[in-house]
Amino acid sequence: MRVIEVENLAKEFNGRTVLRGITFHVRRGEVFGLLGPNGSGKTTTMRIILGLLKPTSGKVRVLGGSLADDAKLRSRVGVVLEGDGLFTRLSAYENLDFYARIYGLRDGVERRERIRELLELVGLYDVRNMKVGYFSKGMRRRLALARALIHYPEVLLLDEPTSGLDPEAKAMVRDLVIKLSRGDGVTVLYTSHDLNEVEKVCSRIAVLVKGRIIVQGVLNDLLEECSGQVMEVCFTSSDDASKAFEYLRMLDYVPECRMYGKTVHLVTLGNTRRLLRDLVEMNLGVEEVRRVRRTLEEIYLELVRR
Amino acid sequence: MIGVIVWKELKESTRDRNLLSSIVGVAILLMLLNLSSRFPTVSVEFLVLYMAPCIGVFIGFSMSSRFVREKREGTIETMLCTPLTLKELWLGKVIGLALPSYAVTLTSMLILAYFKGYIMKEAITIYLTLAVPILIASVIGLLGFLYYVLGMRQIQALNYLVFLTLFTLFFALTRSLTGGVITITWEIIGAVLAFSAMILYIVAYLITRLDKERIVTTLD
Repeated sequence: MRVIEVENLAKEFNGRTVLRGITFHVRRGEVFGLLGPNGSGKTTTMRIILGLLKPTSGKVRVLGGSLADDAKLRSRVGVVLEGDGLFTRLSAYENLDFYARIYGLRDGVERRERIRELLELVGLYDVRNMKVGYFSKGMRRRLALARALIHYPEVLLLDEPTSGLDPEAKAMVRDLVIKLSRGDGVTVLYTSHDLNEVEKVCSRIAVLVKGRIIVQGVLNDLLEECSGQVMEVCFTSSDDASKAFEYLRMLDYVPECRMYGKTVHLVTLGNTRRLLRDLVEMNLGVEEVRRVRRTLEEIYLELVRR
Repeated sequence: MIGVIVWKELKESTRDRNLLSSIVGVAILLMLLNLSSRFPTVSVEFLVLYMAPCIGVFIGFSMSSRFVREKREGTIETMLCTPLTLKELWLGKVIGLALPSYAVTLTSMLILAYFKGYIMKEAITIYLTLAVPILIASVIGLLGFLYYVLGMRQIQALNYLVFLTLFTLFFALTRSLTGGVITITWEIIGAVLAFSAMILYIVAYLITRLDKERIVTTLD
């Protein structure tokens, strides 16, 4: 079931187009990553989905309706935006208590229990009575995540939820998002600059550049597809490696080839079997041949720089 | 929902340095008015008529900076994603900020009356308990609306303008405290009430027409 549907979305500010033709959907229980450099339109897309901005054209539906007009629908969605949405003069406990009441958690016992559970989850229970103004950025971010979860949301929209967090806290957020999506069926739209993190958390992604989605799909398929036929061939000696390197450079179906000591990295456009047969027939000491999967970061940088 | 916001605002007010410094300022002003030989014959009615709205509006103005802070820190954006409507959010804040502003104003006027040995009459009581709080709320409401609509630089300019106006008004008032006899009439009460209620009504209407996009695009 599609929980978030974005269809042919476009947005203009004072005649300047900042988004065009944005189309994607997020299924129930899925973590969808929206990637892109600064100014690519991630936050604008997020704001339109949340009903904070009106699209110039196109449609957005969350849980079958529009968050802009439906207050009940908004109570089923949790958000962590760039600003943490916290009141610095109130304590961590008071902040969560305020939002719990706003989201309609009327029962005092249930509310207290939920606040305690979340504060323990994000590791802030011991400082629950400290004013948020004294919190570090990382502590605020963790509290913002607890705030977003206070009303058991079905959908989570997280804009850079781990910015400013230390590695341990990042791992905590990552595990929590995975647990929420896989265990509780929470649908998550996730933006981040940390590609390593996106690779671990998201099942599908879309890369946004200059207001356009340039690639989207299942993360593993994309990695596979964008990796092409990248291979690493290890030779028994550097002499053999350089002979192979000279040979491979001449082939028209090997557009890229680099040598590092006894190892040759190459990209092939098919003909992998023939290539390996040729190398063996040349009596070169091939020790190991393996396909190399490129990282999301490598693929992302290539796409963005294009 | 509105009650939750009011409660939050009141809680924040107890930790608000702006409110604390306003209370200290009012206390010093009252001391000057009572002790200074320059104002021996100033009537309590004169002070209540002019000083009460001035004090209330000044404190309300200093406290309404919370609208700006929530905008600057982006808290407003998160609040707009909750089930709250913009009108509920605005109204809750207006009540939550007007209550402490009015409480300080009322207390200061009661202390003044006590030291001057003045017994409150019907008209002045109505003026102080009905017209003044609605006037304070209308000014906070109008400022809140303008803070929502304007960009950060425009807000800064507005703040300078409001501060200068209030300061000039205050200065002119204290200069004119020469002992004029004035009484608060029902006409004055009616005029203040009608003016304040009209402002509140218009701003409450404008808030329902205000687009969230306007607020979000003026955040940065």
